[in-house]
Amino acid sequence: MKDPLTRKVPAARPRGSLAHNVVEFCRLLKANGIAVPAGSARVALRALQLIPLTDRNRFRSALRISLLTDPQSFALFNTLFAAYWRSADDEPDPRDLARGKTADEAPEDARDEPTAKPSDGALPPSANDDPIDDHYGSTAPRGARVAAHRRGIAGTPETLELDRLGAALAAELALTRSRRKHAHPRGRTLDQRRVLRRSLRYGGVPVELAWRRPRIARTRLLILCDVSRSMAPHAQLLLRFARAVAQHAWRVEVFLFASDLVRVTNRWREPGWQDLTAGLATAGGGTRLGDSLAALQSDYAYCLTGNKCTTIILSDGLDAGEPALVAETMSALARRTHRIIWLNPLLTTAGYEPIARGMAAALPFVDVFAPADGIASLWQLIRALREAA
Amino acid sequence: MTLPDDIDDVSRLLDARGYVGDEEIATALFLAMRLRRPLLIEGHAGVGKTEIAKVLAAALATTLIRLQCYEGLDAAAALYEWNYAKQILRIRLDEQSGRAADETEAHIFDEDYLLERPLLKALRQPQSPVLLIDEIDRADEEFEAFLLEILAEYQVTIPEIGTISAASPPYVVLTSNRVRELGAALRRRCLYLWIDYPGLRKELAIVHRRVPGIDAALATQICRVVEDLRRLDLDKRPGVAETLDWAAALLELHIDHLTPEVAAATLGCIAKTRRDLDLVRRDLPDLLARAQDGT
Repeated sequence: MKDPLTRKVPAARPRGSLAHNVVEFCRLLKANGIAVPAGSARVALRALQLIPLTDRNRFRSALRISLLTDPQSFALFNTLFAAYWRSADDEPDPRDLARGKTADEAPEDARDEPTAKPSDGALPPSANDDPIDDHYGSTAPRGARVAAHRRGIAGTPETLELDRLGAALAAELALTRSRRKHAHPRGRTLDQRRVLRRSLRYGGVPVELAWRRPRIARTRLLILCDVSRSMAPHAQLLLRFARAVAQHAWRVEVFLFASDLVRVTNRWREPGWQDLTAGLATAGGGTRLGDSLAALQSDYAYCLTGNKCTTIILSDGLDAGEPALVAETMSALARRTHRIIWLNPLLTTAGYEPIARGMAAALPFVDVFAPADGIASLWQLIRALREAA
Repeated sequence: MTLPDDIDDVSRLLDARGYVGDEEIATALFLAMRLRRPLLIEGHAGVGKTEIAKVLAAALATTLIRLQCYEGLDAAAALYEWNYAKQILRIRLDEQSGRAADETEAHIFDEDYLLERPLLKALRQPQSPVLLIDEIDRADEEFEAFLLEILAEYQVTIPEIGTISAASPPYVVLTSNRVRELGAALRRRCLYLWIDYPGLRKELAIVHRRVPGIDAALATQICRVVEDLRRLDLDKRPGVAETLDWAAALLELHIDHLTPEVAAATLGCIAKTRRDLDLVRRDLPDLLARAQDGT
């Protein structure tokens, strides 16, 4: 309990009711950015009624099983659990909280219990381990204190244009057919249910036929946006473009990277989302594409959904990391996704050639390399894709 | 079969069926049974997620109903379908006997013409079965949404018949390999269990349990090598299933000691892509040497 996080955490009230303490614990988890589903405090309480409260490990397992919904938050949960349900001599352990008995020596908290942690035990950036006190802090990237203020962007002509662009790109990328079928007049499979319904009108003779065909699979997209300082002039436009695409594709994962990688997929709706970039860029150290891709593959491997996923990288390729690592991680990415589109805002600059070390290392694995310095060049990308198809 | 009274009971049940579990798994199963909530199990491929449902069914002496998910899985394949051929025949017969059309319609959407698929079957069992919804992440989001009613209320609605509720609600186990992230609505309805790769001791126990007759030193060697392999940047990291395959293969070949030649010849058990094969082959001497030092 030496790190600043746990010192700040309030402890369970020794004479408080178990229900009260569990509800407060849920609030603590939520305040630290762990998604605790509504109503799960009730489930946790029912669970705790079923197990003896004398076993600290089981007590913790029961809370974990009923409150958490993903492995990323396990490490943070364990820290908070240890801090909240304190078991030091002068402090109560769970059984006193529930029954008001005197404290025995509680079993030492198994911080490194093997089943409790995701494979590498590393806390991904989305699981916040900073103490949190401001509103946006609960979802801000590690180390990035984010100024929270709104920016009015909705409804400007540029936004509408970006929205059209996003729709066009999503449509362009949606080329595979799903195995799910829907009713369609030019389908080739009989829609038996409809045929039967219609045949009732004709005494069971299937006069009117109905058809189904596989519908077009909505695109899965992985968007990686470089927000390092060199990208600052372009980042806002590209981020808004990424957001527009995300609204039209089926399953989109969006990550920002500079020296660190941050998943922002679920943060688009927050008013301060654009400021996330500021924190990452000022973290210093320049772009580290190789490290960011390595982090992507180790922590978020489930985002790489094979041959139906298109990756879009928005970056100027001015990489401060190891080119060999870039090549290695890019080749892994190319194997795991259908194709890689790299949008580079510098590409239209006169005399620019992709010879920066990181860019040169990545280029062999890029399927589409296109400029992205404004709306016009983004339309060009879509035309290029259309012609290539 | 009555429900277990405490977590130790569950541990004993698991153990009796040859499943090497731990506290967390036993606690999760115990709570899933007693709270009647679906249990969502996530973890890497081959760590024994599906096995849990099988063991649970065996322990409760009930049937296991399995729904394997795939992309495009829809209600017709998962829940029910009308028997169209039989319906058409009935319509033709009714036609000849001069019955009114609406009467016919009432008939042909009767339960006699309903084809039960796994989910409906699970709801209509006299004794609570174990319903395994395997690899839910492979199904699409529409299917996930469709599952919500079943998981929350243990009932389904068929437009032509009405709502069918389960007399004996099934114990539901869902597994996911995290190919795709599941929706919050589904997660909210489930208890959640994450199964990681086992530690060396647990994996050894599993090998001894599942591949009886294997030499103790060989088993240790195998587990050490596999543990190290999981740290490499492989496309497909070997799960417990691969460890067991490898152990069984070596036992079958009457080998009691891992040498580089033997390992190279049986690599197919643990490396599942060409790139992985090359990687493992390159590091194999090192891995074996390290496993040797440990013993």
